[in-house]
Amino acid sequence: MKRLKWLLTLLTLVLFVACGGGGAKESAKTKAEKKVVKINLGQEPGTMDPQLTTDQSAMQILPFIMEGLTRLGATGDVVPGVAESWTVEGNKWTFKLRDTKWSNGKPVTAHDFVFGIRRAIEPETASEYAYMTYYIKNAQAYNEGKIKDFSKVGVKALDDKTVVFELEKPAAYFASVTAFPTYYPLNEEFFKEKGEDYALEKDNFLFNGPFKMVKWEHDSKIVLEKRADYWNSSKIKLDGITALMVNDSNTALNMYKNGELDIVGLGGDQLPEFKDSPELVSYSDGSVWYFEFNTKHKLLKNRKIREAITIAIDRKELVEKIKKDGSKAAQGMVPYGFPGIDKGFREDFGSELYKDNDVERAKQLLAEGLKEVGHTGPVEISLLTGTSDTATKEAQFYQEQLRTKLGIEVKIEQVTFQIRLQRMSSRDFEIVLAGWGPDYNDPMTYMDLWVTNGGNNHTGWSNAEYDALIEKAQTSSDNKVRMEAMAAAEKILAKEFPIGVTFYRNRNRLVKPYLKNVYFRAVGQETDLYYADIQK
Amino acid sequence: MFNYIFKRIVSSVITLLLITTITFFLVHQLPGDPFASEKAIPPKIKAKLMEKYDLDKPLPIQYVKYVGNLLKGDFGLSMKVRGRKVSSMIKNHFPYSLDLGIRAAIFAFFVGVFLGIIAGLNRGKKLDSGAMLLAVIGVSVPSFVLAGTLQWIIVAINGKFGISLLPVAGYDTWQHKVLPTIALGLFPVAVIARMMRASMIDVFSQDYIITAKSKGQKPFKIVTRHGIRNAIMPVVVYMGPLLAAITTGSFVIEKIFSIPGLGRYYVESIYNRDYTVVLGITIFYAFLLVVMLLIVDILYVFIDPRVRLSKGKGE
Repeated sequence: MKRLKWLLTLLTLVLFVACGGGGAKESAKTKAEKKVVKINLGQEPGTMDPQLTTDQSAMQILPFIMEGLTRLGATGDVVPGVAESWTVEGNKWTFKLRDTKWSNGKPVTAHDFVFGIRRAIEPETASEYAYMTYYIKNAQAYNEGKIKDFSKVGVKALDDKTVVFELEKPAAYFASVTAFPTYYPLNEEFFKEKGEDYALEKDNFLFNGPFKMVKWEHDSKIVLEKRADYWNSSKIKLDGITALMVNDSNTALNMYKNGELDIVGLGGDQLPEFKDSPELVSYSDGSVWYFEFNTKHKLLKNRKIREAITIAIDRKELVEKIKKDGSKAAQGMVPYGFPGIDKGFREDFGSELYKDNDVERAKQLLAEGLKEVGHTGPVEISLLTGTSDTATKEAQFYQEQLRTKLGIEVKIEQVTFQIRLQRMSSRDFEIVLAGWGPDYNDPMTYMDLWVTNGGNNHTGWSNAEYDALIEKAQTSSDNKVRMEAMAAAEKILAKEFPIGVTFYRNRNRLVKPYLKNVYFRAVGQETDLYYADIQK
Repeated sequence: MFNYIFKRIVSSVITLLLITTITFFLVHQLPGDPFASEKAIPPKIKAKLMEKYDLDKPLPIQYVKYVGNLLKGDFGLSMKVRGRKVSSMIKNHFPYSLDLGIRAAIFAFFVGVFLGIIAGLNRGKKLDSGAMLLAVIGVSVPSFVLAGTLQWIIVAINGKFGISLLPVAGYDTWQHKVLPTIALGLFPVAVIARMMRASMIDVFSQDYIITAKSKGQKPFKIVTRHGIRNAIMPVVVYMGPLLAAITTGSFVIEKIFSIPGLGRYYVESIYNRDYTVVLGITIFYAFLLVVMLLIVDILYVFIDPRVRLSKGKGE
């Protein structure tokens, strides 16, 4: 009996030990010598191809390994990238390139930038973010196949070191747009050599950023190593970055505690444990959350009813009792942290564009509104939202607020992401809880959503005055004029209420104390490690 | 005999074809499409995408095209992870699920059989209660709770003693594989332990054990030679379906331990409406199961003469 027991125990042990290697010891040694930061991507990038990509994971990795004409600095400001300087004359932008190299040693030229844009707008590429290039003259026409001749598109390489853009209309923030992955350079020769396999694996990639990819295990990890031949490599302190793809938030937190990650995101439920931790970093992720009203609905077509619902909500209670993650109460479309005239858009134009938690006024407005549409009897409205815990909690909060304050019976409809998107675009909802994150560092990334028949305007709302103000802000190159036009447009939103903004979302992360100079941004790459250093 | 095997193969092929057809039409009935995203895509670009993946064509034509390609061994391209072949996804990620599944099955076999023997030999005593308590926990605690608890314990131990006993997630070294193997294997451990216990008790009430005892054989020899060898048969039979179930990947375990297995892809591809991936993995799993069932059926014919007789004549 004893012998059998011994044998079985031994076999079980063998099972674990036999297949091992000396891997753990080895990596412990290199860790001490090299400055490698371990971050969590959350998931495998949909595609890492700069001209095709749309997702957050790729947007996080790409600025490490690629560089556009410009790049976004620590605070989201525009800093020179491959371009050392640029000039603007009306619609014409001229970028002067510095001497930089691809990871295969060949120089990065103006032609590479033109080819990247050309590929993005070739109709057969079918790039989802091709519209990021629509600022460029004729880019949209070419992308839609209306023009076949690429020489008519407003982007040219004057020589190896000069890229000239001719825009459709002045866009004051265009320099910030050129930091976007769709504008990354693409070496034609390399691309043609790789063909269909371009950017699918690390070897089918050419890098021009501060790091290069040395390992890419799909759905597991990406390992980056510093490039010695990057033009600004003396400023890069890290030797490498390891990006894991852990999509369970509890696992990620355990890994952080266990030293397997250096930075980790915290969910609302995980936050209380770290409230007073010096490792906690809290920042706005630039996303704004709101009710989107179906303005064709029999009750919600009435402006007063929409306003009543919007101002009845107690935002302080929402952010303090429900969100509990540092999110800010919001009464305007554009979040904090976006440029304005002096300090910032929000600071310059005030933040409370309409009332909050004003039950008396809301009741009065609702009564007037119902009278105007001729509705009698109980008011029932459906609220469409997602299936996550957060979505459930928020929806229940709104339901309770509207029931107790206005006597509105809210029916919560929870559907999956795919179905919600479909119902939003076919305007098959009454109120939907929606959010928006920025594409570039200008209030316009939020303000152009609500123009008549805008691709993301699901409300059915249309306002000629609003459209004219947005057009004015889009075409003017005078910053003051632009900002004032957008502020005026925002006031229209706050009067007409096609949407009712409720909060600006916050994110919380833990950062190991030895990791210095990490910046978190709302636009583009979220975790910026360009200036980061490890000091143990 | 040959006739029987031939019939089974033909019916397997038909099964696969039916699964493909049903899955194809069902998955296309799901609302939404692979290119839906939070930010609206201009209609022209969307039309291009639909055209590129043949989604603009009527469903029956898409079906014929798909099956045509399938017969050539082409599973198509993923729609969400652009440019990636479904066949290379299966090739890259199935080995992780297979590796973990085999480890968990071996773990379950040895630990389960061991516990079952201990419990069976000590029926009604403390050792029996202890082993069966473990078995009850294994059956009733969901794997995600178990996985989270294991991680939590490791983090606590590492934190307290300032060591790195084991990593909590990933799948690089053997240390990474310990926790997921236990988490995935504990359920079958419990099943096998109970099976083995019942079987041991059954065997030990048989006449030949009494005969062996009365012959004066040593207890150890009785247990190994006569007891275990006979009692283990139900467990061996159970290992077949267990292996099939466990190696096709566990979504929960793979997600919690961040293992790039196929189980995770399968679930996520459905959320993403990644039609080609859903179909590819379904067909692959169906193929695996059909092949295993076929092998089991054929083996039965050889093992059990009664099966050969009745099936050979009846059909």
